Amino acid sequence: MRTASLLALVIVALISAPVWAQDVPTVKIGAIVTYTGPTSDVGAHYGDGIRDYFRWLADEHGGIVDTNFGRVRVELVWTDDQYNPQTALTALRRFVSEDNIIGAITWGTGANLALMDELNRVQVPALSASFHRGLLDPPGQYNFFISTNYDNHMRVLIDYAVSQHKGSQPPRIAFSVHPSPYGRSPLEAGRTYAEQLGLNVVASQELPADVLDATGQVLELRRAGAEYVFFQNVAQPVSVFLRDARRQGLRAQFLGIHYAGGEELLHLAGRNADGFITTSAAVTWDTDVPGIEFVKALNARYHPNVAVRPPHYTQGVVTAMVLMEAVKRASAPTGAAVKDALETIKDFDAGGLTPPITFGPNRHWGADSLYLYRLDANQNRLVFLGEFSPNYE
Amino acid sequence: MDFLLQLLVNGLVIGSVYALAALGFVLIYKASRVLNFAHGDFLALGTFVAFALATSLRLPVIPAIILTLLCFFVLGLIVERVVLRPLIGKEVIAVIMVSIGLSSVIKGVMYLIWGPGYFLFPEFMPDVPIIIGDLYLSPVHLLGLAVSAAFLGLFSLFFKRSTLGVAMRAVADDQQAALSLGVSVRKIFAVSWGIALVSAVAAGVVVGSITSLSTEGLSTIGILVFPAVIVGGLDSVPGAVVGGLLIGVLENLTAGFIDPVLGVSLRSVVPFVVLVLILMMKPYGLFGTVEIERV
Repeated sequence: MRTASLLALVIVALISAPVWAQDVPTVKIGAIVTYTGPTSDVGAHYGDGIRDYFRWLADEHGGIVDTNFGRVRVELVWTDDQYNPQTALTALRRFVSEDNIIGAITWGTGANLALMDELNRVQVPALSASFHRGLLDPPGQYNFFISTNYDNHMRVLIDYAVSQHKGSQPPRIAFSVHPSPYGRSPLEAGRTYAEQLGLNVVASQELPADVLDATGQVLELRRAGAEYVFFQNVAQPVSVFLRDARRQGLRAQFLGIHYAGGEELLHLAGRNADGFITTSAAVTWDTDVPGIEFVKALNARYHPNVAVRPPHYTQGVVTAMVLMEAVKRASAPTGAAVKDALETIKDFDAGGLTPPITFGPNRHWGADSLYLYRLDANQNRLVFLGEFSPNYE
Repeated sequence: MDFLLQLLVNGLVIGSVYALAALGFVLIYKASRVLNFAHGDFLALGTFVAFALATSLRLPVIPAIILTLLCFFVLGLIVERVVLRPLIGKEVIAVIMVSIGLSSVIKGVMYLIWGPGYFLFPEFMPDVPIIIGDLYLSPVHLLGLAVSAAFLGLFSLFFKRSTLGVAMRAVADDQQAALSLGVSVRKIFAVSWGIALVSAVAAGVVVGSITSLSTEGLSTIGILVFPAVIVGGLDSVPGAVVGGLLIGVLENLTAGFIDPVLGVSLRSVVPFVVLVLILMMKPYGLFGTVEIERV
């Protein structure tokens, strides 16, 4: 008798356990990031930031969050797109059809251009790591990013160069970009802005990510007498360029957008990177802001061997936070509702990790300002130069 | 003029690395008619192993490199024995698919161990430019050139003077005839793989010390080697050297003269354009064996 009742109790428990779990429905978020292939050196930090945030959410809170449509369990599904737009598109279709995702976080410009139409069709909002202006054109669709666009990053750099310029007028400037939609993104705006300011654009070059020798490019700039070189590229090719620039005696001020600088460039180029100016959408590792402790704790918990992260890790964490904020505000567990909720976010403060983030129906870029840093090889750190609000458009 | 000279010199340095990498590719093709698509991945793996020996085990750089070269000679023998030998006599496409598979596996292993980041070879010589007239030369580049030249010289001596080298050429020339004269074709295949991996690793280490180490960056050299070997003729060792140098110089001249005019980078495209032009005139490459099939 006792055995029978015990058995009955166990059976009741077994049957009802899934029912308790089902009380909280699951919603899924998709991350399509770059862990292998070109730009993965930076992409892996960004991907880690996103994944660590959702791991923490699962470990600390069982993934449970309270939203406007009730209590749900949030789960992250993710994949590596190998910096291949086609792979990214396939992954998005799979996440939508199999996992029914209600929001996505993505990486490169090429992939996001390939995803745009599909995101609008399936009505799933995506927060991209690419700040390409064309992603928000026409306005009001399903693409978002947390910083201001690359064009504005470039304008801030140009303004900074002009403010520092001493010597012959007009300043002679050059552009060096990655041969891809990502690299060419801020080129036109940069040229136009430079012409408005009456600067002399002496060259515009492309520098592939796998370059072994940049002597040709460096010599051209030396011959053209470039005084300022603006990069839209990742750290590795920039480090090759800086090395050859020193060897060939090209004395110019080098400046780069968000993904060019950072701790990665210091590590690769060492003293050749000394004095390099970079914009950043997020703060550096040793910045004293309230939010950085959480980011450091995340990294220490899941990657105890990694001591320092570039701002792109923090950027990944903040992007995940912003999307989760929208999920909490959404009126229903659908992509369209999450998009509407994203558009209600105003002055979102991630503990000072990035400038305040505001979205609206016709405003899908998050921040109006960005940070400027100078790489200091002697101290092996990035020195904060200031927060700049480009207000050009 | 200085501009042109500087471009030529740097082109030759990078070209000599391509030549060294191409040599291994040609060796395998010459001996066993296998197109090794995993060549770039072996090159990358070897460079990372040397890096790991030098940093994790704290060996001095030179012994670490020599140890890696030895290990990869043995690895070449093993790969030939375990992976390639069962495929002797099978369709060419099967062998190609296996080498592509091998490439994915090696790349996966490297991503698992080292991830996607960039690493720096420990510096073992000062990087202060040597200035001759208006020419800037970097010691690391010159060392790269010297190492490549030394390896190429060593290999050419080996093929001309040593019994094994002559036997390898015999096998490449006519397998049946070599077999009937008592040459062990299997042994030759194995040694070809061993030597091919050694030259690949040597090229990888040179590239690694000139720039930096990354899984993606290093294995891409395997693709750059293709125009070099095809221009030179797939089965010609001198062709690999000439092809490698040609591609290196062409890349740099394009970057120096054509890119500035267009504002876009054609440096990785032009070698392939030249490849097509040369193949239109000489379908077997500059030094390749012309095969005549009678039907």
